[in-house]
Amino acid sequence: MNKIKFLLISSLIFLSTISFVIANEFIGVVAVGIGDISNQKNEKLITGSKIYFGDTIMVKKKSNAQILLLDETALTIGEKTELTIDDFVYDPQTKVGKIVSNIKVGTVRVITGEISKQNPDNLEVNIPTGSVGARGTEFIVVTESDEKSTVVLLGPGKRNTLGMIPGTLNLSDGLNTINISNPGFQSVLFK
Amino acid sequence: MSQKFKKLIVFFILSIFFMKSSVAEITFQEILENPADLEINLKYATEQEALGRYKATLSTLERLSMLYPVNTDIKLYLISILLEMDSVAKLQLMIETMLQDQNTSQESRDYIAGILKTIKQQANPKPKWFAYLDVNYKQTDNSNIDGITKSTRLFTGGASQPSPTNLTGYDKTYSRGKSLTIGKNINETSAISFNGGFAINTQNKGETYVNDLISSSASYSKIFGKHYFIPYMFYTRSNERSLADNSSRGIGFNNTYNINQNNSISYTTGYTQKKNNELASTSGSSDLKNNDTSTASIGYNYTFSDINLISSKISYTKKDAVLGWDSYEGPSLNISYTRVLPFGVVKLDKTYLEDNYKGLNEVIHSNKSREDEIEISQIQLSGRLIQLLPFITKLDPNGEVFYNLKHVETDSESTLLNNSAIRKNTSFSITKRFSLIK
Repeated sequence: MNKIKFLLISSLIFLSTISFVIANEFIGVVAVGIGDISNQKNEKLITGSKIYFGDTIMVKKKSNAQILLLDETALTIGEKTELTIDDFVYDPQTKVGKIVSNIKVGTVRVITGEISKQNPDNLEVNIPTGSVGARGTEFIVVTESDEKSTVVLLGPGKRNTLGMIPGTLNLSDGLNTINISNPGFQSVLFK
Repeated sequence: MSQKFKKLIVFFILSIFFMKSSVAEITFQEILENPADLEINLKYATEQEALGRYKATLSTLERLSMLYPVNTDIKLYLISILLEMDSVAKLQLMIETMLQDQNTSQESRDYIAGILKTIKQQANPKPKWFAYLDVNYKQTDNSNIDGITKSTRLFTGGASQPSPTNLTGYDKTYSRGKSLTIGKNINETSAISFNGGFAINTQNKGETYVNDLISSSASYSKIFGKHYFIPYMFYTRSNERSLADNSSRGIGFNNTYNINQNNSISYTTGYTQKKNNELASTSGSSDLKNNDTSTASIGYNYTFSDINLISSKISYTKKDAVLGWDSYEGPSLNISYTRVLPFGVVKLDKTYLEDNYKGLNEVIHSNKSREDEIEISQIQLSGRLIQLLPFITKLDPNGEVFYNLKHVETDSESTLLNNSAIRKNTSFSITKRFSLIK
């Protein structure tokens, strides 16, 4: 039994060390911070502030921000928004990784970066009413409440002259899945 | 391959490396450290655009737009990127915001009006079918139409002798032609077109270049991602006054790979088969001039400031003729600079070719094979006539009259005296296009 206790305590200490390391992992910066922005520790965030794994970013009234993650994913956050980066793993050499972000409330515009470019399935944006997957694109999520979110595909369009792959969004409410492939088109997800 | 040509190829490769390496300087790490620095971020945006990483340009410009909301130039730059990305919904939102902003200058409002016009045009799909008739007139002054040699001497049976006195130096040629093009835009990324033409070519003094020419071609264009692919086929037939009538048919393709907005690679390949009809007067000897020619090329194009284009191209040509001494193969190098001007497009072009002939033409020289080194220099100005003569706008409101002025100098240096010559041609052509489907 003592052996088991020892192993259990060792495991807990080991896991807490890991979570401590992960929790302090630098994953991006506040590239723009205008107004009242803070994290889960109630620390004020300004332009240039660092973002760490697991951080929740809260953008208050009449404020906005742009978060730039290490894989060059850009999250433009509107006022009255709360966003958490639940998972971020990225290898700059191979450009492979995974992002899971959670939008509790508010407006977030996403320009996908290297992780999504390597594998679109590895970018996941969770909203209270479902989830959004994106392929090579820019989109906006407006979460009004726990009951309703609107997702709009912004671009690039099929007639782009830059040789870019037209963007598509994959939306799921947990039961049903739909795709958006025309810029300007939107879908509303209800609970 | 001569040393001169090797040096040119090394220069060509180094030029490409120089152009590519001069693009990227600011790293993403620097942006993370200085996300609000206007100068660094603006430079990063333009560099990323040049590298074809438009999403990085977009997020950088959005950031700058948030940080410097009164800077109209950043917004206009952002608008131009959104327009090219076909992000219409976002573009319209941005434009509306800018138009409502009292800080937006009249100059910016005019620019926005132009963008709105472009969006409207994009929204109206092009007609599926298109057709136009081109009527063309061309006049060329030739300094040395019969190719009088530099030394005014020729090899005959290995001996150097004076050139015949009946050769023509300066002469004028004229060409009057019509061509009809009919095509269809199959969808947003592909089109097909057919062309048929007829031209009458005349010469002032001699008869060497007097003929009627019938031509036809078909081409298909397709955009695959960043590739612009055009396979084609053609057929021409000439009815000569003094030489044997001949026909040519060929197939090939041109492909351009757009690395990004500023850099592209183009590569082509083509095959042509030429046949000469028998002439009673020459007892069938014209058949011996029949030949097959294959060409392949790869080129690099660099555009800067939207109005300048530098292109370089390496080609390799192989001609297999019935007569061994008429068969050759060899590389060529072409470098050109193109600039858009208010009155037209000016192009400076230089080509250097090496043609190594296979067999000996014993009538000319029994132990000296033919090796040619040819330098072609060209300057050309082309455009719509209303650009050159704005006062004719009432006569040509749609700008459907095109002009072309060209001067070409060809300096051929050959191991055989017979093929060393300098030719200078100056031509002027004018084309009126009649659009048959509006």
